[in-house]
Amino acid sequence: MTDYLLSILIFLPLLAGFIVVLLPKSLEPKSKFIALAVSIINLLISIYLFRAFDGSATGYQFMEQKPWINLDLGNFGTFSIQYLLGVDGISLPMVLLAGIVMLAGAVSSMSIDRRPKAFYTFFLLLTSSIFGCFVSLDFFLFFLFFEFMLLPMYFLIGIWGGERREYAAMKFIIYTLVGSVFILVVMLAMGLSVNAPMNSETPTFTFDFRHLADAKNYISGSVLDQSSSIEWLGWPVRSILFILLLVGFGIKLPAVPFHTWLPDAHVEAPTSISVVLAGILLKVGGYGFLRIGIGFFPEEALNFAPWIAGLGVVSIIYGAFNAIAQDDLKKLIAYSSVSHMGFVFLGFAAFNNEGFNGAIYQMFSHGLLSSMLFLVVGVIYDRTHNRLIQNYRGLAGKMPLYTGAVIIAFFGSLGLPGISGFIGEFFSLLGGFSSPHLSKWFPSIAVLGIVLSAVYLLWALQRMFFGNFWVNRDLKDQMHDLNIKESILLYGLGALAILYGVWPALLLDVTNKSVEFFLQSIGQ
Amino acid sequence: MQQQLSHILESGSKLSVELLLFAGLISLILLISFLKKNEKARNVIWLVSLIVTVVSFFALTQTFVSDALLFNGLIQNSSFSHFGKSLVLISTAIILLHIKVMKYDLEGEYYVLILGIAFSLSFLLMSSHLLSMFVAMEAVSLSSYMLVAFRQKAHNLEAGIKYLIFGATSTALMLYGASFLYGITGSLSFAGIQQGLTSGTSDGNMVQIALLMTLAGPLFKLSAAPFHIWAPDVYEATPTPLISYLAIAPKIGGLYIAFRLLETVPYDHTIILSIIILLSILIGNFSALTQKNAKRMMGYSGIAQSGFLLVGLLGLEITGLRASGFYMAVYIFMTSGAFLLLDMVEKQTKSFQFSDMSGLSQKFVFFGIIGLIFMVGLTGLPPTAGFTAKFLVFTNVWEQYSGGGHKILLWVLLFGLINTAISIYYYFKIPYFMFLKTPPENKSENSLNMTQLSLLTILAFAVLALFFAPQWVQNQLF
Repeated sequence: MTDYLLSILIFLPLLAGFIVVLLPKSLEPKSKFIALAVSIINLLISIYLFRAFDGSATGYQFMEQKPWINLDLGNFGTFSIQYLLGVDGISLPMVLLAGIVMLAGAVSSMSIDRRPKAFYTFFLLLTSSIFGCFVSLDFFLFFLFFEFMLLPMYFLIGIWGGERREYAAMKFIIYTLVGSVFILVVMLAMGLSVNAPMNSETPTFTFDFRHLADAKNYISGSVLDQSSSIEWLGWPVRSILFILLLVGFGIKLPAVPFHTWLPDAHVEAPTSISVVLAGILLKVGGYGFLRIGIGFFPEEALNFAPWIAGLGVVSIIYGAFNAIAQDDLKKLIAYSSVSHMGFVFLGFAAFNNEGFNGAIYQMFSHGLLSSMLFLVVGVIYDRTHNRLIQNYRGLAGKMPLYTGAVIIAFFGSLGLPGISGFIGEFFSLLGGFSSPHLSKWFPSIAVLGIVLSAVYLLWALQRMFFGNFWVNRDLKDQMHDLNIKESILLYGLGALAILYGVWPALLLDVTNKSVEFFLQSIGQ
Repeated sequence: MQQQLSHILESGSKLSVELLLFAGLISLILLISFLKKNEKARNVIWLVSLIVTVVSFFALTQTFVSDALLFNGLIQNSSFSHFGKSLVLISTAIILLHIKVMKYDLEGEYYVLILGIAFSLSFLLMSSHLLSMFVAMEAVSLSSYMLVAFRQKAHNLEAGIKYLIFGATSTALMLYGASFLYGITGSLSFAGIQQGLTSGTSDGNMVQIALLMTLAGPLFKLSAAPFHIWAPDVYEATPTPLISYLAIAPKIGGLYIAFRLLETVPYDHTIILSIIILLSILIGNFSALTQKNAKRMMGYSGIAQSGFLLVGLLGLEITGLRASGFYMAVYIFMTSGAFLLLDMVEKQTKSFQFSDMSGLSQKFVFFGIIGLIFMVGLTGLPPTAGFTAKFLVFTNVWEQYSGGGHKILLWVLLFGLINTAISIYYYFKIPYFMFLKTPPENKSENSLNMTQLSLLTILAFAVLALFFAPQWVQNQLF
């Protein structure tokens, strides 16, 4: 049983999705419990994996390997595509995060009563592909899950979203599809340049992450060979492919200027889908960029380090300024997501242990905190269907429980020590400052982002929660405090954020060795 | 004389499939002449044509393939032709089923034309001589014109005339080019032309121009740019199963002839072919974006799909050809499925406008999901075979490029794939309206026909299955 844990993570939601779609009409209201049960099981498995993971070992663990498709290319060779799963210290935090966020998403979506069967089918398909993305070790398989995430998300936003849902859904799918097309180009090129080492006669082209990461396996003379000098438009092809990856994953992350789909998608998506989108979907971009962009193109990544850092810093500052200007609470939080994910790119660009660990920590912590933030918006939207900041004042007196959760989420996001956001941002900045590859300007400007995040978050807190209680007249009667479900969700996530804020070793023990090994393998 | 006769007789014996189809055609004509013109008779004629198609398909699987030239070099039954013919017969069978499940009550003459196209295509797919190519291609064209115009309603006739005029123009161009090729090399057979061009000292530019003009014929069949203008009008006016057939079958022949012609002229075609591909994809995609009618959208998207089909021909390597063959096979299932879907939608809404599809799959969830599979496939996303097909043809491009090919190949690769992302906008209009829009108030309550849904499900299954097991088609490839 334990040999197939990663497969269960993928196939249990998939199977449950099929069951839900085939449920008879009378059982339709029960579909949410199926989704809930699956999310709980997946979280338990993730926790088990996290506990059983040997943090002192390098390389992948819990591996599963099966041959899958062999595409025959005639006398040229064969594509060997494998069903290859495994986790290391870089992907495991993401798997755990996926477990937590999907459960939060499942719980918070329980109030959805419009076409629940279809909703939970898409939700479960999404769950399956998210886990698939983080545990695949074959580029083709990774891409398959990466691409398959789009479809359920498109429908989840497009059917259950807000007023401009159709526009937002279409924008989301076109943007992210352009990104994945770029990644597809790279996948094609890499697949045709890497020979599985066991075979020398006719080449067996492989997508195995372990082989792709090793420069020795590139067929000598192929375009992607390290020593290749083939150029296109005056650029070495390897650099072009790296830029494609940077843009492709940058759209997903999202980094400014590729971020414009995100505010629309977030504002229109229902609360639980916003939680999933911010909590885990964006992390696929970061994870993919680290594993594929930096892992397989280390030299190019190093050459482009200032650009990566630049994208990160611009996202931090631009996102923060945009957030300050918003009067819709959800838009404010969407832009704060752009800003906080900028630290991930900054950490990557540092090319040292602190930076990488910081980036991974930042992704994990942002997953927890942004889920909380979107739930916070959801609470108020559920009650009044109005998210404009100026309609509320002095909520603290009327809704103390709610205010407590908001304070944890806001202070966590602005980097208060003792909450997880601090560790991620601190290490990312530390990496940036100590990195020999980066100008000190990058982290210095990024620090400004923390100040700015204090501005917009504290200002929103002050405007909405402090002072005398006042809400726009039409909304007055609906202001009641958190119910039990909401409290459990918000305070549960808040407790996790604090836990990982005061005890960072919990995560760093898992990531550290893998990050060290990763840095070694890219020659740092 | 004696020797000639025995060669012809021997050649004839290797054409069992064509003979079967021919016998089927004759019997259809006889049946039409002698049976009464009522529904029962039309059912019999339908059944006979289906039986002929299926029997021919099984005869085809039993045929021994050899590369020998038959009829004094007029035709050659290569393994590539063999694969093409099997695709033609499969698509014919699907269309016949489509006609039946959708309860079209067509006159017997339609079936003669459909089988006539299949019959002429199987000769086109074997031609190795400009003469046999021309005769077969014209036979396909004439049957297609009639198929479009046969209903004799004003808009059918209009579409038929448009089709005819563009077809005649491209035929004339093709003949003109072919006469140049003959003039330069003194030979009409592909092998002879190739020999003449490699050994002789011919003017390269002249040959290129001649080739370009000759390509007008197959490009028209493929509805590839710049011979694509007829597509949307004809698509819109023609009854759905017939246009589904015309969107698929002639493309198989066109692709084959395009390959044979390019192969015959031993020059580097990368730039010309790349331009044709880029133009087709660009025109098809961007025109499809603004369409409001699903059938016109399919017309434009067919132009773009032809561009993708041609991508495999870049470099004229066997790998790329196999990729195009795979693409063609998948294209059959995706396109015939998409047209069946549209036809079923039309039964519900009495229109092909996107806006009238609103909320259909809120009523029929399963139907909507099956329909989604075709659109995902046509866009080229996993987990459908449409993805594998695009993956394979673009693999060919990268292979050509990394083997020291022309720089334009990288443009084809990037541009083609970005267009995939653009195409999702119009392909997804169908699921967009079916899933995302709310249905209008006064909706008539039609239920779905189960046989129609089953055929649709089978086609969708093929689109999915070929992703997980591409070897089913790959092992059949030449």
